[in-house]
Amino acid sequence: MNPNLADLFQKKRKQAAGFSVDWDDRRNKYVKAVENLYDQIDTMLAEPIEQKTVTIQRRQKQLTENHIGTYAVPDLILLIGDEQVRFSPRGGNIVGAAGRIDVIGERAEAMMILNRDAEWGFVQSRQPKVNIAPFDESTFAEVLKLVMRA
Amino acid sequence: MVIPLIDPEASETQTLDEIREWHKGIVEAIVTQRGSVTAAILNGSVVAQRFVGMTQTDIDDYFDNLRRELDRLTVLSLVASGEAAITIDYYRRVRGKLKDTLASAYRKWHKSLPRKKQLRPDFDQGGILEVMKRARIMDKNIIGRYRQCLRPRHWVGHGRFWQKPAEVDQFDLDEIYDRISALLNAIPK
Repeated sequence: MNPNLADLFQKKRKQAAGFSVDWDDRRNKYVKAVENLYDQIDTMLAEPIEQKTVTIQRRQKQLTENHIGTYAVPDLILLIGDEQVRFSPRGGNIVGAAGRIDVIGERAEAMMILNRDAEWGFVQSRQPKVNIAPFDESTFAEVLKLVMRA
Repeated sequence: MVIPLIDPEASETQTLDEIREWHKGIVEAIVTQRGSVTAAILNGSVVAQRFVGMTQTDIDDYFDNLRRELDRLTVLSLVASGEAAITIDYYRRVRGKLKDTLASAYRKWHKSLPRKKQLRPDFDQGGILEVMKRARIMDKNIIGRYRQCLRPRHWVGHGRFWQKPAEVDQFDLDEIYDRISALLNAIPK
């Protein structure tokens, strides 16, 4: 290897040594938080699932992020009437958050972010000020109404 | 013959180099901000709220868009600066009654224009550039190469409501700068 290139890589490695992130831990916490959210949704929807008004599926997919690499995390699919709502994890390397899931309906999309205390919230607005509502049954219903066809 | 007065004190013309310096400054600011937003993913540092929730891909798309827009607006400024320099030179030659070939051609054409057009002569087709080309004071390819820069300039300047000209993606800023400089430098002093 060209000595200049080798020197550059060594220098950058030393600089990075002062600041280390446990990427495996970050990935594991994010995947766990995703699973926890899906479990909460399962619980919230237990009755309609029992009544067969909602069908719920988990579909494994691969996510690739800088530093973390490629890992498996599931999408959560809700089939409600003739519509689908998909909870799609976007990763744990997120600005101002510890993770993100997009909620993709047939009318609109919404964003959920994970705070540093491992709590999920819906992003209600981003401008002029970020407004995040904690995830609970009430906000869950609001988001479903937002992303699904009227 | 009507010749509009151009008040250099009231105008705010920019040279090509001033525009290029401005562009460099904004690029540096974009690079710095991209770096700090990307670092926020790693270290959780606080950044402007608009970035909250963005992935690395979102950040890359956002800053790539900023950079593309900056480049397009800079093309507009560069080409418009060239137009201004050519138009100011045009009136200088028409008003100053200079004896050179270009001045004679300009003056003859200017006299033939209706009063309204004398105040605001066409620039490209059937306008100042056409007269400049006919005067044969420079290689006609220099004018042709400058004219190709007008297409991206018009597209940006008039709201991009027609199909994007190929030159928008074909020409980078250095190419535009070089083509305009070549024309301005070929105009006799």
